[in-house]
Amino acid sequence: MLAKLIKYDLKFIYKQLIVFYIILITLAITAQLTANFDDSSIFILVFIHRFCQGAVLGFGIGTVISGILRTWARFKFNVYGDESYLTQTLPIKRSTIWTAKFLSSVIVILTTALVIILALGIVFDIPAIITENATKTSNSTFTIIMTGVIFILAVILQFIYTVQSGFLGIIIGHYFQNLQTLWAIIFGYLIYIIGEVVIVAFCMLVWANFDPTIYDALYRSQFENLSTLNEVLLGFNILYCFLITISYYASSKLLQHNFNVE
Amino acid sequence: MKFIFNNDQPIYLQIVEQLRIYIISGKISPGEKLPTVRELAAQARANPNTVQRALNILEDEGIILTERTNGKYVTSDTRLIRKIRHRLATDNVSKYFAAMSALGFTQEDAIKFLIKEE
Amino acid sequence: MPSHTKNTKIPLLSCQNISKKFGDKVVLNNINLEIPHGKIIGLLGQNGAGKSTLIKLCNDLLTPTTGQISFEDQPLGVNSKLQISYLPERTYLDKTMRVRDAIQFFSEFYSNFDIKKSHTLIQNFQLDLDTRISKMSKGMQEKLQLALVMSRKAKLYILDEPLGGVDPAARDHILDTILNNFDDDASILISTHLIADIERILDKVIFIQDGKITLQSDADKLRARRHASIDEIFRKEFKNAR
Repeated sequence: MLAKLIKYDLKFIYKQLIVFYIILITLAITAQLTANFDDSSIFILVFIHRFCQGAVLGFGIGTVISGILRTWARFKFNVYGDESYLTQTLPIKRSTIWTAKFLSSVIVILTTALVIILALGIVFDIPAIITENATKTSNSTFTIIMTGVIFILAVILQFIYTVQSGFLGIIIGHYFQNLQTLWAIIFGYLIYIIGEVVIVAFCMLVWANFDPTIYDALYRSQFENLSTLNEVLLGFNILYCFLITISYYASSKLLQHNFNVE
Repeated sequence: MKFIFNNDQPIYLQIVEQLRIYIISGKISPGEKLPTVRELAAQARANPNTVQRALNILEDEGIILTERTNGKYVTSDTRLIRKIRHRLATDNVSKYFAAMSALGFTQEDAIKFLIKEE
Repeated sequence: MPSHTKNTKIPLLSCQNISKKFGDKVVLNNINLEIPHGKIIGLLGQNGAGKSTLIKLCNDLLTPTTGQISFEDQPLGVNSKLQISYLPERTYLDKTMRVRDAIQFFSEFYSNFDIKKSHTLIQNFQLDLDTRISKMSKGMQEKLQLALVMSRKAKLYILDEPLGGVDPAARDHILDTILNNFDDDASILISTHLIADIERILDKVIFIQDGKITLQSDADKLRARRHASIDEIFRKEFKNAR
């Protein structure tokens, strides 16, 4: 049942998102194809190249936002709106419905991240950038790659938490009789901010207390080397995982308690 | 089989009356197998429970019999059918006289009127 | 549980002391009712009387403020949802789906969904498998949903205003579909304000006004007692309450 629920969630979300993906990759390929003409005198080709390069970044952000909004919309319509009359009367536990929504949101973010990385990989020569930075700084290529990976993971976890905040906001918003969407936005935003504050506070007050290198990094922006940055980012990632786990269980419990459709 | 219902009266009684008439008039022959409760309900556009209730009454009257696994049949007892037919006909006569009396006819006049009209 | 055993002692659905408040507004007040096996029951009342709210509660779409609802003596849950086939007043299908997609969806999630029957009912309603739901009229959408709901082999069918958006000519057809497509032991709960159209098929009637049940009775017994149609009886009751 869980797989089927996820299937239908993804069908809905990807119906719109796939267009963004295609445009993004097309822009990337176009940028790459016109790359050789960057120095040429054919102005239009130079223009297209520069435009597409920038557009990949801009459109990439647009894709992420679109994906997140579509995921939230799906959650609201399918769990509380007209479609909920079907979803909530299927022979499945409410907790299973929640798990499906959570997993499908994670899948959407992962695929979006993949497509964006692919697009960036097409436009920018990443191996060259890595080796260039390796020789410029005193870091090994391995460390630089690690930084990249951990950074990407941090961004992914950040987006997952953003989506989760939205879900939890929607759930809390529906405890109210009126202005449910407004309350959802207010609470979603609050939960997001509180989560961020908690993580930063923990790092700066607790973690920095125990580890001097971390203290230097966070309070004085002094990074001994790249591996310190990696450590900080990894710490953030682990904390985000905790945060996401807590919000997952909180959402599951709250969804089952005093549930009412619109 | 067509059934026409009036929502003012118990539906099951109307089914009883109309089914009885179909049987008495020979539209359903003596000894003939009746449709199942569900089929009757579908034809009558009525509730199967209501149809069952009606059939139970007709069975109490003896006009319908249940043969254990085979279903329901009209009785082959033509004497019983004739008896009920007579009873219903008598009822109709009483109704005729009552209706004519309300119009101011005496029983004699009502009979005369009837013969004249035929 | 094998389908031929029928534990008639336990009611199919039972609402005990159900009340529902939305904020300060009391929509249902101390509702007590039982749905037995094998009966067609009418939940009759004006618009806004609380019928839909009660039905949503029975389908676990709303949480009661007080009281409890049980299905075969168990709280509402996965089993009750499998055994209850619900037709809501609104369109609950994804409108971008085609008819065949909706059938696919139902067969995937309901183990008691009869695909063959759904095709037959779709044909009876003269609907086409490849039409998109968004392109269908309201009446057609309602027929589609009814076809899907009646194609499930459930113990309880709950139909909320099944004659709602349908033109008078099609109402008989809808009633026939309802009558001809439920199992012997199954029960049907029909909620409607169009009493005259539906009363002939009801075993039992429940009148609901302003969130309270004002009358529960066997339909024919009520007719015999009051020498009137259920519709007339309801109108009288409604007038008296005002």
